Amino acid sequence: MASEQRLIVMAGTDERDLTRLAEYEAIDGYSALQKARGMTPQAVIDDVIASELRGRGGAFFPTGRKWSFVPKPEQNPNPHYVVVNADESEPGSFKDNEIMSRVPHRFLEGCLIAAHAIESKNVFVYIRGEYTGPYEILLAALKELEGRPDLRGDVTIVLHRGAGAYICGEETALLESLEGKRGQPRTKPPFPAGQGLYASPTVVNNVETLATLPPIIEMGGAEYAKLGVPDSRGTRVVSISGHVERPGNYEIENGTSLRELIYDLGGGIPGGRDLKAVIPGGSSTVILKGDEIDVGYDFNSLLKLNTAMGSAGVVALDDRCCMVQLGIRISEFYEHESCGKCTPCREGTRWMTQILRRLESGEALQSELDLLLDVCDRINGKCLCPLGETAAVAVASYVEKFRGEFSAHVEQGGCPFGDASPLHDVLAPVAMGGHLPSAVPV
Amino acid sequence: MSATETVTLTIDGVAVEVPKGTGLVEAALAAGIEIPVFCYEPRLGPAVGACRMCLCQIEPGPPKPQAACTLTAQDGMVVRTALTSAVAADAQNATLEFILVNHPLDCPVCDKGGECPLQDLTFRYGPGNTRMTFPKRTFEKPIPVSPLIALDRERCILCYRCTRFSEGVAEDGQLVAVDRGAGTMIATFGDEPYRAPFSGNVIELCPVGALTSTTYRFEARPWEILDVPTVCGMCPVGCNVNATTREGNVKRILSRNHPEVDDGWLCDKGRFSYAHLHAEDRVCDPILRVRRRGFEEVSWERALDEAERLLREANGRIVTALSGSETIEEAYALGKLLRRGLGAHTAFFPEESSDALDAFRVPLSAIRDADVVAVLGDAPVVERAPIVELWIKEARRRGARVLYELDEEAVRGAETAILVWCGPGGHGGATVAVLAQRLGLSGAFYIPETANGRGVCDAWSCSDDAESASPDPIGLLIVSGDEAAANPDVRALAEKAERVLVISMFQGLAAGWADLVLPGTSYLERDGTYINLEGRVQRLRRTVIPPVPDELAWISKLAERFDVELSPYPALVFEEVSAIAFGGIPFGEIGERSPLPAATGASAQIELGEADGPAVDGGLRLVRYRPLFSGPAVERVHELDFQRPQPEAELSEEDARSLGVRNGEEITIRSNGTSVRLRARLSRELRPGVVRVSDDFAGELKPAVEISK
Repeated sequence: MASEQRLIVMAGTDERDLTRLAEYEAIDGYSALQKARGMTPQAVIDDVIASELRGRGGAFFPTGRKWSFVPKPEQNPNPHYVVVNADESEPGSFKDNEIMSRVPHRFLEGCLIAAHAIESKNVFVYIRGEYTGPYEILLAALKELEGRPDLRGDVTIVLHRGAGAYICGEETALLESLEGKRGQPRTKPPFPAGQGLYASPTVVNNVETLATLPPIIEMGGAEYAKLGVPDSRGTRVVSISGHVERPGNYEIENGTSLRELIYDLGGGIPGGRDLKAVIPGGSSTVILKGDEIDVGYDFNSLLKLNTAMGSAGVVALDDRCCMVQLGIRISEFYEHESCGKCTPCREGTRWMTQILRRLESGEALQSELDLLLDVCDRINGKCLCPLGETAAVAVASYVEKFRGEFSAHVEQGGCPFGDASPLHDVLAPVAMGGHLPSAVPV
Repeated sequence: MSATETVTLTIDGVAVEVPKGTGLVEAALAAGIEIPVFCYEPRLGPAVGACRMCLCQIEPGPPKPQAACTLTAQDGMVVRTALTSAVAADAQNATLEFILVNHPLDCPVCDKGGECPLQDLTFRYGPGNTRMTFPKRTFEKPIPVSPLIALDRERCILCYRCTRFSEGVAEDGQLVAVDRGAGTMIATFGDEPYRAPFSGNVIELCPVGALTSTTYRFEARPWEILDVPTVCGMCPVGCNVNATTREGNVKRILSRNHPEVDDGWLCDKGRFSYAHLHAEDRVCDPILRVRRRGFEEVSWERALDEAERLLREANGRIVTALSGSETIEEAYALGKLLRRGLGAHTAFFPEESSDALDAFRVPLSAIRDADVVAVLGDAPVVERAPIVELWIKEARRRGARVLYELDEEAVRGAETAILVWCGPGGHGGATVAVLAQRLGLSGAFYIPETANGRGVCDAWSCSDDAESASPDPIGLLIVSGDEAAANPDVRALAEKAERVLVISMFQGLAAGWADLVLPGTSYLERDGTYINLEGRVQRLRRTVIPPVPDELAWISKLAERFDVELSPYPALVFEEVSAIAFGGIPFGEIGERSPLPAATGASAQIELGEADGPAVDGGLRLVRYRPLFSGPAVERVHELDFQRPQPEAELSEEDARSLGVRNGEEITIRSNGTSVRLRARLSRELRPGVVRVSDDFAGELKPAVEISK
């Protein structure tokens, strides 16, 4: 694989300001929608199945298959809903932010294609409350669409701002929140396809997934499926951050090696330092050691290392980073964001943080390392939703892969890195638009 | 009916066949196996899978343990609980370890200790010791959620049963979870008191000692109490309850789920009123009016002599005012004594009663399954028979149309339509039966105002066949019970009576106008039977020994003096009534959860009376009602003071619109030169043309009123 970008979702942004409808139409924007509307809903679903597109939100579920689970209107007369998960909150991921900001119309076109596919008249975009920039841009794009019934058809698109809860990125918690309830996940089954928003048939798709639809329809699913590698077709917008020279979003073909992402696109580690570890797919994923990065950035290759692309947030950590401090950082995040509904996550993440803090302070016993792993193990696989489980898996991977460093905290009675661990650069805001080719200043 | 479809599954190696759709928790129970739960409570709606106590290994399914409570039994399913699966055992152990990480373990001082699901399950499935070495999470405690409920947030395991009850059963929406994660707390909005008629149920739902009753707190330990099964006597529903007693005192009232009557819920009136047994003004000895010194307490012997004298001197010119809270046996005994012994047949009943609706008899639970529920009569159901309101709410949640104005088309079009009549114009159910017959209804209820008005009426008529003209003037007015004593109409009768004998529990009600006061007892102190609004005969049990002899004891003594044969034993008295009215069922066979007698054949055509109350030309019709939290017993329980009605007038949304009145706005209600000023509350459960005000605030208003801002 070449270490260069492959613009599919972001196509055209290097030449034009695609936030404007006229500019988007100038590059044949919304022609995929017209094409899709010329097809039967089932044909659209079949084409998306042929594209082998899988959800870009993190779970990587085949999009076409998800749609095929939605009952047809004659099977279920309730309104059908397309709900967009634009609540991008995973530490390390900021791709949807840029997609909504740079190609809002491609995203909206994708929403309308999805609405056609599942025969829905209602699209709800649940956008992260802090994403004020993308919100304004989407609002403006929607206003442009409003004047164009030929494009909008009879579909209503509603923008709904979240109120700052990571859990509302979990699809059923998102639906609860959208319904005006407390944002807590529901048990599955029933799945949203059958009983989602207002107990009606619903697909919940990620922003990038939807923004990928217009190119898929345009080029045909089979053509799209030629991109990437088996089980991970097409491209992915990857957020690269942490200790790299050029943090930002990059659209790459799936299967590009992780080393290339960090060293070629990301420009390597500042100051020529060593790469200690990489979080490959946002804070929820199992960490990779610096020497584990000669791996394709795709589902199967990462699965062999027990990790995942997740929401495509690649976070590089240089050799000055303390893994216990990283553990605290991550564990505190999940403790703070735990919704409090199920016991293992609510109580377990808090306990994890307590143990990690004691380790960092140097007051812990060696046995508490095993206790920490056991607590993680007792959370994992027992929660209502993935939040607690991923916290446990991620933190457990830090201990397992850097056990010596954790032990050193106990042996030395304190942190070997002290205040020098530069974690403030990690999981910190990254300027948008720096590294995707851009025709306009962002 | 076709046979129920069943599925067969294996639980811990035991094959069990259950009806399709059965939850795994119930299926396991059918196999004699426990799947432990905290948050699971089917009466609160769909399972939420929050506590993770029920994790089991289940095939088919993912390899990780599944929350069994969220799954239903499927054919061929293989379930392995902690009994046979190390994975399930470890998962359940983990859940308990996590729950206990921040639980204070203050069991020795916790009211729940000894009857606590968390204790029990920890002993069965939990870790024997703790690995938690950090300071536990602490909260300020106890928080008074209301004058009735104390909240200990440290003990709370966040099963969300209470908030789900508040949101999804009572629909009061007052108890909520605030904050999130480990900091999640149960709270009321803005820390306002949880003021709602069903609030006490959350105490019983709480699987730990987080929500406790302020009136039971630190009063007893589970190993020194005795639960006596009886029936609540505070309203015509007759919820089945257990009275928890300790050393001869009632300490609390718990629900004793009768799935056809109450579904395990109680209102706060039924749950908390028991403290009236210890009212400060409880009459413990007979009181005699003595001309110069006023009143004096006298011995029972003297009292019976005085009673005999009053009865004889009245020379048959006796009127008996009944409360509708007497047991069937008491009312029969009074009737037998007065009618057979003295020829005094005139009774003043608290309300009309009729057997016309027996043809439409269905259990209250039938409301839940109806397609259309017509709630007519304009008085608020929740104030008269609170649990009926919960059945109506559940029907609505299940998709029933609930009508507050008669829509004949909708009623006739429904497969099952049920009528609930609450308010004036029902004539004890007689006119309701006519309506039900005309509409071809599946079932109909008339909601009386008194707990046993129907039973009292039936018992009185069983006691003798003869009749006599109403005496004028009245030689002796016998006032039976506190509700009659508090009734203004009875007081007006007393003005015209030469002598008054009052049977009452409370001096405040009886003193001053009675020539003789005989101490009364409460429904919690009597053995006997009540008939509830369905027509179900239910058993009251003596939960504690009253400080005074019960009514039956002295009525039978008095009866001896008039050569009337009367047993002091309720079982024997009931036998006499039963032979006439209840097909001879013996007292002992009524049982703890009594069945509903079958509906009778359609009764003879009854003339339709004024079913709609007095017509009002223009303007609005005032419906005044007795609020739930009122009456002699409630007024003596100060913890219930905050539940008294607000100074409000309910208006339909339509009328409010045409009057330009907003919710919460002050309005003036006027009639015949008198007026009151109240806050308007817009209600969807009121038809246009009616304004509803509780007796507390209706003042002297007449039925025809006008409203201005």
